[in-house]
Amino acid sequence: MGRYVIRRLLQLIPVFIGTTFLVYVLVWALPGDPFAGMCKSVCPPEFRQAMIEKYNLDENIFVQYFAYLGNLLQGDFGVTYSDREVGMLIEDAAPVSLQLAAIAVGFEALIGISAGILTGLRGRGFLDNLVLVSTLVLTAFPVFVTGFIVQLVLGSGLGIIDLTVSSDPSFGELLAPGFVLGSLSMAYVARLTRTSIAENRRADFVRTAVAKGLPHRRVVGVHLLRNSMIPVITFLGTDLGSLMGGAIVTEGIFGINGVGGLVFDGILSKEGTVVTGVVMLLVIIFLVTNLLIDLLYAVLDPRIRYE
Amino acid sequence: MSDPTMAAGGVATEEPADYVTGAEHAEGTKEKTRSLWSDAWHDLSRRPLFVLSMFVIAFLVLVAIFPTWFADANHRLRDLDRARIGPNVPYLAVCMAIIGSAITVVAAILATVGKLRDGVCRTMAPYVAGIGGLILLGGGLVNSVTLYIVIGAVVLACGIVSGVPKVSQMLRGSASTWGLVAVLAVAGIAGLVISFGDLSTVEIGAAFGYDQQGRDIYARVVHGTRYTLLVGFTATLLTVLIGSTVGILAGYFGGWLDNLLSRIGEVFFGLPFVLGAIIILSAFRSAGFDSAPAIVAMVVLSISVLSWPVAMRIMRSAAISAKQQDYVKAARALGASSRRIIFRHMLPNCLAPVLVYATIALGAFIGAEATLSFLGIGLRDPAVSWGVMIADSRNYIRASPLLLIFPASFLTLTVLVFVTIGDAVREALDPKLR
Amino acid sequence: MRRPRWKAIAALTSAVALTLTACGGGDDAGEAADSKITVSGTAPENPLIPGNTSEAGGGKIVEVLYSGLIRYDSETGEPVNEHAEKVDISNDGKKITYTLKKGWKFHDGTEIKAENYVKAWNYTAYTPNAQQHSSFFAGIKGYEDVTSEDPDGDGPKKAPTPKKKEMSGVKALDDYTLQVEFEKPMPSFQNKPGYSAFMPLPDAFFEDKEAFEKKPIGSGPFKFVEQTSNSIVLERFEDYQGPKKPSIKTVEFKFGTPEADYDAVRDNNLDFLNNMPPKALVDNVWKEDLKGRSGPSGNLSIQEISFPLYDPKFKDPNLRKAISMAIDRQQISDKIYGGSRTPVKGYGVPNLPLWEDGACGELCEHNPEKAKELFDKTDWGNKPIEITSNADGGHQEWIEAVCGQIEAALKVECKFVPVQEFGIIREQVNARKMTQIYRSGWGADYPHVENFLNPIFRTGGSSNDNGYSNPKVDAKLKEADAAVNEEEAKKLYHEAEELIAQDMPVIPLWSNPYIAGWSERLENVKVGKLTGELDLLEVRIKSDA
Repeated sequence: MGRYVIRRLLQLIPVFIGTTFLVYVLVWALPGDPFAGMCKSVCPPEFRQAMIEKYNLDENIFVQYFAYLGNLLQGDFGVTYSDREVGMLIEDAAPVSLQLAAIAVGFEALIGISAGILTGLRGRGFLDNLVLVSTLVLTAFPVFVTGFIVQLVLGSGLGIIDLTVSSDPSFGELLAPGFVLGSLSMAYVARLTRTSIAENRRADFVRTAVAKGLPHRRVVGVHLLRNSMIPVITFLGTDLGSLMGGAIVTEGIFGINGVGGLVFDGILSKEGTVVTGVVMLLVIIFLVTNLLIDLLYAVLDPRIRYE
Repeated sequence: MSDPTMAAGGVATEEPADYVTGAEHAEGTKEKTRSLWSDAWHDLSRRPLFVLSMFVIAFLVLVAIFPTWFADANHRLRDLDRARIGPNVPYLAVCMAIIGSAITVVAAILATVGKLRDGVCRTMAPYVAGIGGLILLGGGLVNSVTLYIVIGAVVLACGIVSGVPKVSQMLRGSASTWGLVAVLAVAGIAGLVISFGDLSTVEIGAAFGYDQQGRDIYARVVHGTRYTLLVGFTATLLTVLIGSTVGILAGYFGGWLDNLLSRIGEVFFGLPFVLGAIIILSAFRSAGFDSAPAIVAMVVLSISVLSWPVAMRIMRSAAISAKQQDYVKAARALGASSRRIIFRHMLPNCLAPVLVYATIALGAFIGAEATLSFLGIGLRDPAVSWGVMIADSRNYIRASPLLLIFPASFLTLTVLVFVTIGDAVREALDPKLR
Repeated sequence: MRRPRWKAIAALTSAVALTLTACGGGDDAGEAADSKITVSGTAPENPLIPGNTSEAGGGKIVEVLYSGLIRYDSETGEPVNEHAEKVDISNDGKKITYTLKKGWKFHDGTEIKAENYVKAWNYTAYTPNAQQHSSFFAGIKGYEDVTSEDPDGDGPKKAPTPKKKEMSGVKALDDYTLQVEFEKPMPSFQNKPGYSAFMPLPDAFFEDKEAFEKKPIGSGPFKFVEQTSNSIVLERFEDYQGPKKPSIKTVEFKFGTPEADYDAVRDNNLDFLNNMPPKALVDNVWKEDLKGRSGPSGNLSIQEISFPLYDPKFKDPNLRKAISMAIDRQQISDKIYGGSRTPVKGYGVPNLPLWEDGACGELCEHNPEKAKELFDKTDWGNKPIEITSNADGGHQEWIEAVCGQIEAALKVECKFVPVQEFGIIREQVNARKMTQIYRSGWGADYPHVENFLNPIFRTGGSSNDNGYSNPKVDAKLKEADAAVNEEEAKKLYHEAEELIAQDMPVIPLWSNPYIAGWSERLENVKVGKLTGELDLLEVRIKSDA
């Protein structure tokens, strides 16, 4: 197990460097004056020079990148053009994004898994068809359409929610955006659970358990569900990571000051340090959650042992 | 895959007995052993939702290629004087009535054919009738025309009755089926006659109204189909091409090449999709790609670059398992070149899972294009797409929600149709589910 | 979206008025000692140093964080003495002497002396310090000595180091007397020292700039508390000596998008928003949503479209006139902006002191036939007309509409070419490489018609981005600058405008007034008619809230 973890960690390094280098190149090395938006008219050359030195722009791209990476490893995310610390920006934005992603995953788990279990256990019938069709429809809605519809119906129409959340949103305010964010994956979770249960229902270990005369509740609760949940949990785990950065649209529609908005603004205003900083963080989260989930497999599924 | 009704709608499910007959019939005539593909096709062609979706797609493709056949108004003409004028309701109602009636007539024909020769036509008829009835009814409700409402309700009822297994079992007799056919035909023709009569009395205008710049929304929706589909199809094609090439190479050769290619794949896989696409697009946009084809190409590229690792993983695992199969070993033993093994032996056998992915991805990519356009970094004028229209309408959703609703419904419908097909293909091809 | 505005509507003047005639009630400060309000803002682009803050986001904070010789009345825009006790102008108009009030303090407790002004002004003017407001000191004696220009614009060569570090024309005669000397008489200078370029800086700034940037020390009615990624918090400065003290204790500037801020104000989650986002202007929904707590304020800014005159395509003035006459300004105001924009027929805006509408005459009136006639005289042919701008900030809608009108009138294709970044346009404009017609605008640095003409239309003017040059205009402007009285000046500036309109280097469209909205918690809300900003000295929180 220990060796497996180390090997996986070592494998992460080239992937991490590759992804972040890619982003770094896209943000910094393409044509166009990175400081164009900053000065009222012409940037004074002294200012320009200072900026170039500050971001090592006169070095070649590899030197720049590794200098940046070196700082990053020491916890220094760099500063924006207006001298604000990127680390601080992320620190301020991350909690609300994490909260939002957690709520979204909560919805996915709650609604998705229960719909999946219900249909998976019951088998074909009206309910099964209903879930299949409604999940299909749900996946067809792009997230911004879902967002607008929720805003239009719950906000303007019924007046249940505010159209946008306040700057320091409470849990209740984040429910609607969280639902919108989670809606797409919710459908996926429902189907995944359903298929997984349907498959395992026919599996030998379930038949054996039934043959042993175990009570139905125990067969379902311990044998069937526990094994069926493995792929679902895998998915939910990876989703938490990707939802943190993937909430750009939802955060925009509901006016949430999270990581998504931060990085989107960063891209538009060419704040390279913000973009690379956030993406680095997201990539780390992504890689680490993937690793953790693989390890979780071992805990949940006795058939898997890592040597 | 045992039951083809899995993906079917809630109420109007197909009667199981009917399908079994169909399958027996088919197997009786064809003695050949069926391949995975013909098996799948046989299965698919019997799924009403799949066939319906295929028809919708065929129609959309037609619209995309010849938009002017469907909308002759100039979709680019701006006229502030008519900004945000709502839909021409009577005209819209009549148009819906005509379309609904025409579909009803088609349903009647399908039912007739289905009665004479068993097969897919028969299963399709209730669905087609249901949709025709719904559109007709909608047309009636939109402008409260009682006749449309009555006819639409009748057709819808026919669709439901003939679709619900138990009821249709009761109506199995020849007389009742012919009765149904007759009702549908009469209702359809009556609807056509009445609505064509009404057409001469209403003023022809923009069925969906005008947007904030005074452009014809209907014309824009029609012309938007082209770019929406173009991006979806080319992005899927490119993703599958890159993904399967890399995947099959990695899977076949293994070793360090596999390791290298897999790591490269992970590099792209690690970027969150929307975020990655935004970064790529904005990076190249500031590099000055501004003409319409360049913009489309950039959007397609950025989607494909971020998605190919998925296709690659699928292809790779399929290739690895195929490599251990006897036929590959045999081919190698016979001294076949790597190229021959890959193309002649492995590729046809590894294609199925990738194809499944491709059909599902198509819907997702259309949605992704809309999202990017919505964020203002995807397509833009002169490349109209539904995503662009939705983005343009965002400031007006309170005052004129229809600006959003028309393109959004077309977008959702299109994505839905593609996901439905993807779903059906997956069930038909995925050996795990068989 | 955070975006530097073009010619930033530069903090222009203050959110705070110190009029003696203002309604009473502002001095019951003790009553609501811990009262706090939140105001929408945008993140400052630079540290809050007054001489380097030209954009609106930082500007509105700098205005209450610092105090200067004069302040502008929030309602009239008229200068009113703040730290200056007395202003004396010499007979030849070449010297102005300011006598300062005693006992005024910076937020760190040190006293504000004349020397603080001298040092701050010299620092700002000295070009190697790269302060954006350096050019405000032009005209002061010795300004040329502290400035130098980059010989090749933006190129590899460096600007030579200026001869001196200090302007000879700015002197502290004693701790409380400040004398400013000019090359030539400069009556317009009197209106300027309320602008952020002229604020004094404490000694702490010159000792440790980095620490100062992290925690600026000003002298205004509010002091700096903290800055986070999406807000800046200020607190009342109890030692502020101005005639009026703020009632509110704490003010937080929150950085969000206008769209979200609008919703927040409506739901009372935010206390003040200075301008409505486009979505609120549709069908004037703001009037319903914010009934009784909103209203048009001011903002001296004009929307224009500019031609890069150095591009031979745009040489023919008939082309520019034809496009101007193809545009129906009123229709766009009505259909896109809910009637909130005021079409202008000149290069100034309503409420701008010394400005008179109408210089442009029929050239700025919608007249498709005449436009087509003029257009046919040009050799433009069938090329599409392209107008470029950044698409956000609600610009896409009106440019698309303008294009629609151009197409209808001139029967030639017109395209809106969006760019993602405002900076890209600035980059091309600055490098004189623009090849398309582009959106431009101008916001007053200080309320004077001169500020709308000299920088843009004079040969070599600091913001003359299009290379416009007409000796007659130059002469007229010069004459107007030296006019003896306001009547005379007004007439001469108007004549200059008429000359400019005949060349139509820039097409004036409409003024962009602000419409402010506020929460139900606030009372005694005064919004500057010229600034569009909330008067933080006057505003109170309702006692029952």
